[in-house]
Amino acid sequence: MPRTKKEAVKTEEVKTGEVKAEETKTEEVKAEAVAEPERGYVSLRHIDKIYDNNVQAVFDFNLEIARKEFIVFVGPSGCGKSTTLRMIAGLEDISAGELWIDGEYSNDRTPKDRDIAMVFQSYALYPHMTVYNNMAFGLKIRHLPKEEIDRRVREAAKILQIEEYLDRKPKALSGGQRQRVALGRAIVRNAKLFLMDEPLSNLDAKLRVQMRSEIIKLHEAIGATTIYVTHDQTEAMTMASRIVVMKLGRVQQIGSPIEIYNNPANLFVATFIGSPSMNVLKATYNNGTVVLANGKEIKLSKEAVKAHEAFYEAEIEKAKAEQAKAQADLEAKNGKDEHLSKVLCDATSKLSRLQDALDNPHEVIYGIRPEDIHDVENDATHDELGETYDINVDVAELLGHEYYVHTTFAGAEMVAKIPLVHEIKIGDKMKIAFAIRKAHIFDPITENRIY
Amino acid sequence: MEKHYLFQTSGPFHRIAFEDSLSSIGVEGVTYFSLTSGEFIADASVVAELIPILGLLREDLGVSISFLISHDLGPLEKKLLNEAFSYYPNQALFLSDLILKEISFGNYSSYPLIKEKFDHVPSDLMLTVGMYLRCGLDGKAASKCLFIHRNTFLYRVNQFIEMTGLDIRDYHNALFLELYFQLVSAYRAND
Repeated sequence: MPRTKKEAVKTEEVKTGEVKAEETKTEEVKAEAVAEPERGYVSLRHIDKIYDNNVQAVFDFNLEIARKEFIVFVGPSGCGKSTTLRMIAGLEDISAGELWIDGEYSNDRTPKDRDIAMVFQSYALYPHMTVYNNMAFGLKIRHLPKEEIDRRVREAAKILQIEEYLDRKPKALSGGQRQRVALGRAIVRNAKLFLMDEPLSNLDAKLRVQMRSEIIKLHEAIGATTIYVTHDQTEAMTMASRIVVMKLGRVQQIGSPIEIYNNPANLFVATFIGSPSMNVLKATYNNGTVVLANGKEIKLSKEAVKAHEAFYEAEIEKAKAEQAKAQADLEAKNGKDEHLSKVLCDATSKLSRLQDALDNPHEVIYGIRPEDIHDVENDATHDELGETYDINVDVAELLGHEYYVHTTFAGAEMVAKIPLVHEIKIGDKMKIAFAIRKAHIFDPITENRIY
Repeated sequence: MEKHYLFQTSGPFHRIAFEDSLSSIGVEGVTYFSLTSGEFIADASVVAELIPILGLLREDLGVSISFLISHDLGPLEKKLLNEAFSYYPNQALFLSDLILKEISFGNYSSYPLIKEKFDHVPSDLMLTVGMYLRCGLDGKAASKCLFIHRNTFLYRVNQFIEMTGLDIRDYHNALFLELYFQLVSAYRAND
């Protein structure tokens, strides 16, 4: 993928102890950067990140963030979430695309000019300075008046409940206290934008839960726009106003926690969000009925059948366009290009498969969340339940108020969340049923959600 | 063991604040080469305190800053400091780190400057320290392989250290020497 051309020319002049740095951009960049975003306090448009060795870490990232939003980037390691955060912070160059912060084109602005505060996973503090001095240090450099520094530090300490630790040094603090001081360093700067890169990863599980709620309360109190990076889907679900799910450098879905949870865009989002993960079962779709690998049939609602038709009709249109383009590209080369021939062949085969799927039985993936599997004999649910199935309990994990029941069903491992009504043991037999309106169907090739 | 901690920044910065933050990790006495570069000399162990505060320095001083940690200050170090800043900002890297990165990208431009550091060292000393590396920094084993008395071995190693300033009992210094031997070997193979 091509990079935008940028040339920065810096000249330095030393004059009476002062240095002036001048930068000039090419006309191409200036022309591209004319239009301000219509909305979005932070606006990321078609952002790419390509390293010198041509490895692309982020592909076409687009996002508009409103003031005071709490946005969470979530995804597995290596998905590009930290790289994107670092591009917003100015710690990494943006290879292509535009970054706007508070109406200003910010691609080439230095980190200090972007008025952002970062909180890292390592919650680094100056080891031999007191908590007070750790928080005040950055403000002293900026020549703020002593009284103003004192006011900001004490106000932040009060919000974070670390007033009694102001005279202590970091080695006398616990991990959670140090993390609060790191947050304090960010708060005192009165920055417009907070960027947090896995700030809770180094904390133990109990402290993580406590700090999560503290960060949420802090966000409510301060109202700063916040972008938070995590690999933990629980943090994403509990903290975000909107979640950006990423995988291998690409955005999979953007939405509120409840939208992402109830309407995952694809199989990756469906299985990444939610704990335990959504159960996925191989199945066959046949004229409004899903047939599982064990032969059990689930009749789909009219709504689901319509969604199935609409999905494949839309996919067919897309595939026809891809095929037409591949055809045109190959004709432009007089039919003599091996790569383009393959692309045309793949596009044709995909179109054929999709057309076949619309009219004939075909493979699908049936997804059902653990909490949508019910113990028929003991669970008084209002959900519409399908057929009753007999299962054997392979493992029963007691969490206090519920069990995670592991079983094998339709050739796959399945987990059900069963409320604690009576003891469940390995080897027990149970009767379960699916809340069929809550289930999802995915296309096995594109992995996109059909219903 | 003392090391040179060379640094380069993206722009001028608040020197007093910089020195205060370095004092907080026990470093005193910063020398400046220019408005954006300089060095301090400190124990090798200071790197463990320096790395955690790199992000803080960047945030508080408002500049990108890179550190190169070396046993010496010369043309090689100045060249590699520029590279460290250009390609690996906001990191503290050892001489050996940068040479390894260069080699991994097929860049051998530092070889002449590295070679200069050892050209004047007699071959028996190079043989001795080479064997010391081969024996995993085990002096007893190296003496045995060289058929020399341990005292002779120690004498030669000390001579080498005095001539080059490179105390190879330190891991990063030993690695730097090993990289030199590997480069020499590669160049000989190509001749």
